[in-house]
Amino acid sequence: MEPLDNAPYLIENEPYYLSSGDEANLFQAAWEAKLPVMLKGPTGCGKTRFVQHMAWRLGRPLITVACHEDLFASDLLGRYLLMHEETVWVDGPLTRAARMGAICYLDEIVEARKDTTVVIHPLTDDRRMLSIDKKGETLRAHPDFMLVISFNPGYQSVLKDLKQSTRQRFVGLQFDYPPAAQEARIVAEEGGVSVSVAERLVTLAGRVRNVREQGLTEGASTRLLIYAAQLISRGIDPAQACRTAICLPLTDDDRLQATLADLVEDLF
Amino acid sequence: MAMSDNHPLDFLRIADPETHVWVAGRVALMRPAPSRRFLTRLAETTVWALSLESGLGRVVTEGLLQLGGQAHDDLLDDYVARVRRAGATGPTLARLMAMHLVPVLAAGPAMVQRFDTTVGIMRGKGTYTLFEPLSVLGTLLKAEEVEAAGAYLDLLATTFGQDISYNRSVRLVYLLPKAVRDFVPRRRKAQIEQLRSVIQTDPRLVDPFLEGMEKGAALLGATDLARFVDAGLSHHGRSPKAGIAFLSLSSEEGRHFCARLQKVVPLSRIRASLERYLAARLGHRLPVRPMSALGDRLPEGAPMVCSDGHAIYLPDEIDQGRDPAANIALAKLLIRLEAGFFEWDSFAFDLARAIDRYPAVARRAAAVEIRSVDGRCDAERFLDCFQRPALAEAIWLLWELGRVVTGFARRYPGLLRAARPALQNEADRLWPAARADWWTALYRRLILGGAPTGGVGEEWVADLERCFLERMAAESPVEAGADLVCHVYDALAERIGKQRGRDRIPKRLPLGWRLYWPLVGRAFAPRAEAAERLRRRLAEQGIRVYRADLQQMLVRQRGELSSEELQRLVLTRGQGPVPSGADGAHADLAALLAAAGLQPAAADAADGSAFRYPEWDHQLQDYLRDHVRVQPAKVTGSTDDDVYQSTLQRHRGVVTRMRRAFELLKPEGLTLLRQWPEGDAFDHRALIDFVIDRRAGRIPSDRLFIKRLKQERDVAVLLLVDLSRSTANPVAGGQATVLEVAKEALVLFCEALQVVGDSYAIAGFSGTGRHSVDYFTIKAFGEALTPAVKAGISGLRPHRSTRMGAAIRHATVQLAPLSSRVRLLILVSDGFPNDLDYKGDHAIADTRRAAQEARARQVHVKAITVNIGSDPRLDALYGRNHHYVIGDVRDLPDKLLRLYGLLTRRS
Repeated sequence: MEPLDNAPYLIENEPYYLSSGDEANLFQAAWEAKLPVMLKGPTGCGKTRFVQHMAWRLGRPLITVACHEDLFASDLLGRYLLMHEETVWVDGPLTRAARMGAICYLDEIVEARKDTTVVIHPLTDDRRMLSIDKKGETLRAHPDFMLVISFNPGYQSVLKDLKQSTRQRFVGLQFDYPPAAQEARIVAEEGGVSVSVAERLVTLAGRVRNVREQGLTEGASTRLLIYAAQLISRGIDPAQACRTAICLPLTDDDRLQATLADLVEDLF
Repeated sequence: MAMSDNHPLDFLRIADPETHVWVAGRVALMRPAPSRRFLTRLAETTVWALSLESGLGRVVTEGLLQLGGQAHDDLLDDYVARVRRAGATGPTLARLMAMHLVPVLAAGPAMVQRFDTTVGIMRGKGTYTLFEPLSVLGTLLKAEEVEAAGAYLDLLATTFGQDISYNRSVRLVYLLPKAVRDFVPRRRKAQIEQLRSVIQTDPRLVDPFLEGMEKGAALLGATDLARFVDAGLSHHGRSPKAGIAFLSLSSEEGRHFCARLQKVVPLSRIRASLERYLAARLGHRLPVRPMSALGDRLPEGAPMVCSDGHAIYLPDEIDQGRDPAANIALAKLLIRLEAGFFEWDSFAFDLARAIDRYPAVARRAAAVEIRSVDGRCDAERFLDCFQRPALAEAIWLLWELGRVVTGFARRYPGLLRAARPALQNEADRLWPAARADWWTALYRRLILGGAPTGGVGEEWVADLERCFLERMAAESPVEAGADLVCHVYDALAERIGKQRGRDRIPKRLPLGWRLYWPLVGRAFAPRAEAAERLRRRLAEQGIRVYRADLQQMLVRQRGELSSEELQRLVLTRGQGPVPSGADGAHADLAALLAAAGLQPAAADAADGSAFRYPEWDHQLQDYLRDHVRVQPAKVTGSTDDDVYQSTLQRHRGVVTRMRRAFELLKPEGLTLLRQWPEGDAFDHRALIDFVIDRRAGRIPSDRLFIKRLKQERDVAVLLLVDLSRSTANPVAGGQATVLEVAKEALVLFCEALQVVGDSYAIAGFSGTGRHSVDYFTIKAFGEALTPAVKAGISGLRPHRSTRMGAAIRHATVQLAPLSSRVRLLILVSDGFPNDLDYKGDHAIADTRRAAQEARARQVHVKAITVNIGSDPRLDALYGRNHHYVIGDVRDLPDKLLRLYGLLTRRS
């Protein structure tokens, strides 16, 4: 078989990531020990960015799969396609990653169907194998291959849960919104705004996370703050940018919207 | 003279020894001692009254004692003469006069004259008309609402001067005093006058008018209310019906007219939103309370906002603005400003910390006993170190306001931009430029961000300004203010030694925004002792924590502190080395809390058979922790499933139809999508076509795959049935009771869900009081539809009350752990929640809250209300779009299933 071209999956420029703990070292150690990793944390706190950053740092290609409820095992493993009157096997993202020694990142794994998640089991223990029934192939994973999954415990506990048999195959890394000063640096860097504006956005996020106990299910994510910052850096009025990028996406409740608007008014 | 040798009260002793003992006791307490003439008068009149009727004696004595031993002779004579005159008519009238004359006489001759006229008119209708009306008159006069009292007398005179029937007059005698008592003091006079003009037009308009007042007209100012009433009366002139609708605010026009005029915003209407804002901004709950809750603690000058470190107080009604929107904006502004004191910890001032940190403070406060607990706060104790505490307070307030404003500038530029013009306007209004002094000049500079104080002209003010500004540049704690005061006090005291009135905070400040230390001291007093006890215990362990920090924490936790919280406090706010044991010594801290007499905030463990839930108190805007006890109960009394079978029999038609409908909801397992552009396997039929097409030179279709979709219906539903007493009511136009129909609905529901295969549970609830809410599980999730379950449905019977919130919370706990994609709670009830101490708005607010909590846990709550008409309060109870009203309960079995089908169809 011809060597796989991993160039499309390599990350050229360093993705911006500000470490807030020891997660990079932990990740690297896990990669060296060939352990699969589970990233836990609320939405928009930087899990995906962290994986991109680590892939760049380790110089490995990154294959990302956004999981959804119609994701079947064959979507991960691969399928036969028709080409010039022949059937040709095409690897799915997971198979491809295992072959080329990439980092395979299954984002929001709980969104996938429960039967689908089972196919990753043999890959995640010391066998590091993938059996492709349709093709009759048993693939031994490349030594550099790594499996990373993410999920958001905020809602998985009530709607869906990861089976214990799946959970216990991973080492876990906990993510959360970064501390205020760091979050401000991230927002300033990514959103292209001054640190003082970023600080105010972060203060707003802190206030919004206070409201969470009063009816919002999730606080404002760092991602939303960056969106607001990006709007601001393009000349949108800060208050308007906050309403558009932070308040409106968060909730449909009019009374909570009014409170959020008050908070925005205080800050800008 | 023989008389003068005897005590004047001897006369009474001979007549009635028992009364004499009582009177003598009261007289002995009078200061200054009453004159001899008064005592003689007292004895004579009491004896006379006793002779008329035994009960009258005390009343008359009481009246005379209230007039007082030093009262003018004329006044006494007048009183006695009037009571005696009334006595000639009968003891009842005499008693009324004796009781109510005192405040009238005290109010002066004009009032007396009005009183006479009115009482004369009312007596014409009968003495019975006087009881209630006069007692309210007394209340008004005692509250010194003389004008309102006058207007009230005129109202009574007008009313009873009219030709009205006995029945109507009996009603008015009850209605008018009650209405007048309920009016708000500041608008009472105007409202009484309008009530009078309404009655003058037509006494039948009283009810509609009072209804309108209750609905919102009471919030109108004097002239606006007059305009409203004029408009109403002119409607009435054209058509009495239209006038009634207008005044009672039942007509659209009346409502609009009133809404247009309305300016006042009652605090109760905006409190929840203000508190939500505060919780968001501060990260902890801070209540907003009406000023009236302060009672006698209300600071002088009735400011627009103040706080005591526990809560922020706003006027009961906000009416300074042009319109409601302006008033709401004003309230928000006040809250935002005041929250600054909480955000920058003004109330956490601790003298011990100030002494530790600032040598100047230590020198000044050397003599103060800082550990004592005496109902004052540390700030007051510190201010008392100065010869002129008012001057020290003035300096300190400037600093505190300036510090908070600096914080605003740093963190909330938007807030400051909104607040400064408002403060500036007020400052210009209150302090004309000509009367500028050092304090107002510095206020303008530091708080309003005005130009440097060169205008005042004196060099020392500029020095002071520099001193403030330098220290404010850094983010400083509240204690830094104490240091500043110590530094500048002496020089300043010398400077303005002779300038009277300039050595204190001006009486009126912009928006009344300032700190009121006495309020703080009194509010913290109950916690101060506990905090001090705890501080000492900690100190014994070598852990130093400041009392103010403990105090604040106790306040926020409402007197309960867990060892974890205490530990956090020790680690973050404590000072000095943390002893090695302190960071791990949970048990020690818990024991310490117990030793300090503080309740650890550990959760009350359920005893296995009962569950405790919080209840939402909308007055407090907070949860009452572990307030309700829910006990699982069993349905007893029925072992056969007769109801179940007979219902199936009776509704055979419906059952067949519903089975068919629900078959359609049932998932068919796998769906195969053929000729799909992508999929798991080849669709071989399409593949053959593909090859044929290619061979034939046609462009083949690329839809070659089969996709398998597994259809899942992952629904769990809990049907919660109200078993209150009212479900025993018969259904309108039928023999069956509400519950019997509900049972039929349950039977059909079970049948249908068996077909569709959804996971379901059935439960009922009732109970009495918060300690015994019964929760009957008829079928649990995962339990099969056994004969026992069927018998359970048959055995349901009406019980007692409806504490809906607790039942919803308990049902949510049953649903929450299920892994189903859609979790649904359907509540079937026949009305509003109602239980002991669980009525009206409180019950509605709690139920709504419980439903919100359930939704936050991804449990959909839908309600079906049967047997009552649509009521807008149902929207408040369950939320719009979350409830259904089925007026005729007999439709329930059919509609419940339809509704269920609709709710879950697209799941």
